[in-house]
Amino acid sequence: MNVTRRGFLKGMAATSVATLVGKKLLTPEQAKAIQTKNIQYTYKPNICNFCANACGIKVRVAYVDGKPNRLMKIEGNIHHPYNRGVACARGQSGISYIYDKDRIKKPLIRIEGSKRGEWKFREATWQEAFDYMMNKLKNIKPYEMALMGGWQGCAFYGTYLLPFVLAAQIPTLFGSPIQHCVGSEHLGLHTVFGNYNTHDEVVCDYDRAKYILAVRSNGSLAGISTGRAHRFGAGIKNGAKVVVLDPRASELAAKADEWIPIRPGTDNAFALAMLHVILREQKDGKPLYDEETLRYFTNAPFLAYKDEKGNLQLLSDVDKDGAVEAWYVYDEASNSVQKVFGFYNTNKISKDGKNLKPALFTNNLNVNGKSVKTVFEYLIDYTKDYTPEWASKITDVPASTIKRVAVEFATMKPAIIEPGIYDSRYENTIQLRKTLAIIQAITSGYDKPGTWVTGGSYKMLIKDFFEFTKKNGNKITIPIKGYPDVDIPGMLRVLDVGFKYFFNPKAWTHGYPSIQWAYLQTELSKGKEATVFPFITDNGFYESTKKEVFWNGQPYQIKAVFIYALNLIRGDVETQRWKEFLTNLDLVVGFDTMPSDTMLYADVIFPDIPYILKKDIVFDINTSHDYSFGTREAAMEKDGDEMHALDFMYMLSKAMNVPWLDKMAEIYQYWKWDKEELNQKCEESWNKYHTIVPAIRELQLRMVAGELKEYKGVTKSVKELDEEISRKGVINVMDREELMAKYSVPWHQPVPTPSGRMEIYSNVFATLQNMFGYKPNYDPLIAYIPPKWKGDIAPEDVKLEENEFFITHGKIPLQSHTCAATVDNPILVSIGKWREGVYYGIWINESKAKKLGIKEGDEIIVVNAMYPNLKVKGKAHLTKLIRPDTIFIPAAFGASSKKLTYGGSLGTPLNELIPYRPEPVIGGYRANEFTVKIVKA
Amino acid sequence: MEKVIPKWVFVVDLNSCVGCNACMAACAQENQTPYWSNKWRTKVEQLEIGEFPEAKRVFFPHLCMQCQNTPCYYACPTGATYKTEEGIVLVNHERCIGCEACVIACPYGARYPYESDDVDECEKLYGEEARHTTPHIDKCTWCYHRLKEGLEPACVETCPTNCRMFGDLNVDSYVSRLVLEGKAIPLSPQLGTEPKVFYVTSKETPVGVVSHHLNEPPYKQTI
Repeated sequence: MNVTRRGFLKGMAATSVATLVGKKLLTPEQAKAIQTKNIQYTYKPNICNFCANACGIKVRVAYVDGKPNRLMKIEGNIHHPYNRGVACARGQSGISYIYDKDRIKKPLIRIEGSKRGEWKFREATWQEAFDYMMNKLKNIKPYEMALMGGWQGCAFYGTYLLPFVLAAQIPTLFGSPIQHCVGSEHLGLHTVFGNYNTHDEVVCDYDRAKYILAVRSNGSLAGISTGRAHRFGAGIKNGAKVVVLDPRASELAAKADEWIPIRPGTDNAFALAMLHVILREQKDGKPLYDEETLRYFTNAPFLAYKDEKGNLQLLSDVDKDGAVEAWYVYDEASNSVQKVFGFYNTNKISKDGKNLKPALFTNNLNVNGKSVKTVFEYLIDYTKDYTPEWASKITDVPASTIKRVAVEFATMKPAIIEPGIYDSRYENTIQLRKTLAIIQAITSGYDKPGTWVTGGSYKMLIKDFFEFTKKNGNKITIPIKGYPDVDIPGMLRVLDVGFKYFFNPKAWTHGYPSIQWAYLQTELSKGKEATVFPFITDNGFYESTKKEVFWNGQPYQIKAVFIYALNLIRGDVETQRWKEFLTNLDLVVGFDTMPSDTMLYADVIFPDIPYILKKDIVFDINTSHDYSFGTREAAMEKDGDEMHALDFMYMLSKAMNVPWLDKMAEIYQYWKWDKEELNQKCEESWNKYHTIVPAIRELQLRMVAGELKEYKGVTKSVKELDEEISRKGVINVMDREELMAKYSVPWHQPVPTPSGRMEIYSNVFATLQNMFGYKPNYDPLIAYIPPKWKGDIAPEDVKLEENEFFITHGKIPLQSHTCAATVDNPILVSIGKWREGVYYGIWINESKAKKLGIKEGDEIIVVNAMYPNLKVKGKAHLTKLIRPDTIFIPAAFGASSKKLTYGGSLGTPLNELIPYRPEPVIGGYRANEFTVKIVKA
Repeated sequence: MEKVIPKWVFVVDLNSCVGCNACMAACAQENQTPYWSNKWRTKVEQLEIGEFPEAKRVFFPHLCMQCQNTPCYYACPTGATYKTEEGIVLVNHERCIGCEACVIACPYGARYPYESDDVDECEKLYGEEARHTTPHIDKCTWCYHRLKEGLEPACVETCPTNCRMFGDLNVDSYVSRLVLEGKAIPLSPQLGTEPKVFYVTSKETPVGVVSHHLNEPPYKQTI
């Protein structure tokens, strides 16, 4: 990709230097130098790191006289199957991050005698910083350590982190925090579809959709996830109808044919009423749901009963290992009760090979002495009271609108309910998302053109796993036995890793489970409640430093943390709590690129290589509908002592003397590496280049070569593939249409739920119900949970005072959670400041604000009405684009690090307004479940 | 064979602009414009039209219209402003004396001064690759340097939702058809400047309505 731009430069810049009229005048030597220099531009492929979408980009580098001289610009990589050659404002702005004078380029050690949070650091060599860390770690046991990683760790290196913590016997991993990341957003969807890949949203086929319904979700489309926005734009041009529920006119709502400014936090009432309508209304004598799909590819026809506690259970046969061997259905063809496989994609055949037509409706059926009905019949029962009229009172949306949207959604197919990044959170978010997923499933909107489409590599993971389960009697245990943990697809991997390792003290030589699990057990033993599925959540960390977490009767305390690309102080809620937590630790190790608010609390910081300067390993592109692989090329040499995260882990594993690579070969066989060879190649590479990346990459490309041979019949050497991927950034193995035709889920192979079917009745939630007792939060079917803005006052009865508001938050296109990299980006800051109110302000309805005497740009204080000690400052932005009873605060702002030159003091730190009050399932932040009062500053 | 001169047109589909500002970021770097002084060759205006709950949030991308009948060109006293054979309006940096007559003449607010402080910053940022080495009046060129290499303008290339499109009226394409069939229309045609940027009007917000709003303060002041 060489383009010569010499002609342009000569014409416009070079000749002008001789006749300058301004005060800047180059010396004749300088002018001549420029005129005679041969400037060429080369493009290097990379993967954007300015949000978790991981778009393909290419970086334009200016070469002067054949040497790389300067990074010039970023463009989208046309070869990349996700973003197809386009890049958003963030993606475009990566260059100024590299040249940001605030970026950390050398290892830093906190100056002795200084306090955490003060930013008193001195530069050090790697060796000195590393020795400093190892010396401090000497007296800390592995179970007293925790790895805390942001989405970079998760999206790119999560699969390498897991073997590391297992090898190092560190049972506590913390992701993102998962609660405001994928956990509370998407768990509800996962329970139905089992999808949980790295950044687990499916990418919808908006291009071919006729109807797109979004419940907030600004970040996942317009606000902006570029690959999705790209398809969304095509969908609009192709005439899709767009309906958006959001209390404010987000970028996405601006594109809606119908913007429904729903009362915040009441979406689950809207969704339940939609479900109510779709289950009951008909069109042309046919139901609005897809009968065939329900019958054959969901667990809707499974027979269920209420146990003695009144909990809904599925009828099943369980083997001695706890694997479900069979589920029960009523077969309409033979008028008899039949058994279907424990783990399979369809109910078309019985366990003993008969063709079935499972019934959705039964009549007073009694099996094994139990009165049973189908899951579908229970679903209809459960939704009985959730009429549009009922929802109307709660949502402030006319019943006729709710009904119309439901009918439109079910009849204007293919239709999509946006499944991606979600914005604001309530206790009901998980059940809301589950209801939305059920609507998507029962209208058959999965893995088909114009609907939710799963990624190519994800389909391939399922393919191998399906073959394994077929060989093992079409049943699975949880945790899964005899299969590499990391290779397990989706939700099943999360269940496996959770129950096999993090929640299981026996998995560790020291006998300690993760701090999160110990915290849960501590609370339960006191008769209290806590997060029941604390999978890499933030629960128990703070409490452990207060000596409030126990294991085997002894206090269990986190003493050292490794923080990788995570901005705990800005990303987690109730900042003060986390400042205290970090202050109370014995050691805080940071690995990052920017002096974020969190890095201020480190004892030692190691500089990560910023993505543009990073030559990387190979990734399967899981956001791609194609089966493809991608990587990063270093656009220029790194300009400091930065190191790749995997190399840091390699150094650490050597220093701690733990078999990281052995464990990797054992539980992560996706790349088909051999234990000895992996160790040997990494060692050679380390000795030669001081990085293991080339070794890993070589072995990965060998696997890619194998896939190309197997699926395309193409023979290419590793060297050829390395050349190709270095040039294009992407290697494609199989395209979407072929994958859809052979491997779509659940049509050709199971979805990775515990039963393999799309689960209307969630077996994951049933497990929680049976372990911890019923709660509507994890009702296996559906539940209505009202937003608790004012304790237990029902939403329809809540009255607001004159200066009192509901609050909603959400993403804006200029920012994402990048540990200050986007917050401090000069270009993004400039664009943001140009529309300061819109992007940095606190949105208040114009006429409401006038009544309160508030003008545009006025300094205001937002006080949490439920927890008045929590308050934040900001500038008012007056707008007609928000409900009069609601304010909006953009997410990801309010950095206070004085080390951030450009964006350090802008915007409002939303997280300081939110109390730490996790909901019971996965500890999601009830980030908007209170009211606020506005006072002029 | 006679050389065919392209008839370039720029089409913006208002239905799909999501206001992400990728165009602004792309342009700022491609053309080294002074974002540090809040000056842009292209912008995405944001408007609020109507009252809640019927209020509409409207994104309106705009850039140099490359008018056929060119007020800035006629206003320029030194000949610094000139037109290429394809009709692209450019500024010769050395001939520009910064009198700003063109800034006043342009009814679309597409020009701004690239001042000497901006030149300093540009050279600081881009070193020997700096493209603005003398103060001048600056404007969007539709990335003429890219066009000459067969590339689309930087904003068009990166536009995530393809709301910005580029084409040649001599060549049959989706873009040229939008213009020739009248589905895309210019902003404020009554001014008689014959702009070559055409807008596909959105269902909710006809270009005429936008045009009315854009001509109100503070629009004029912000450019």
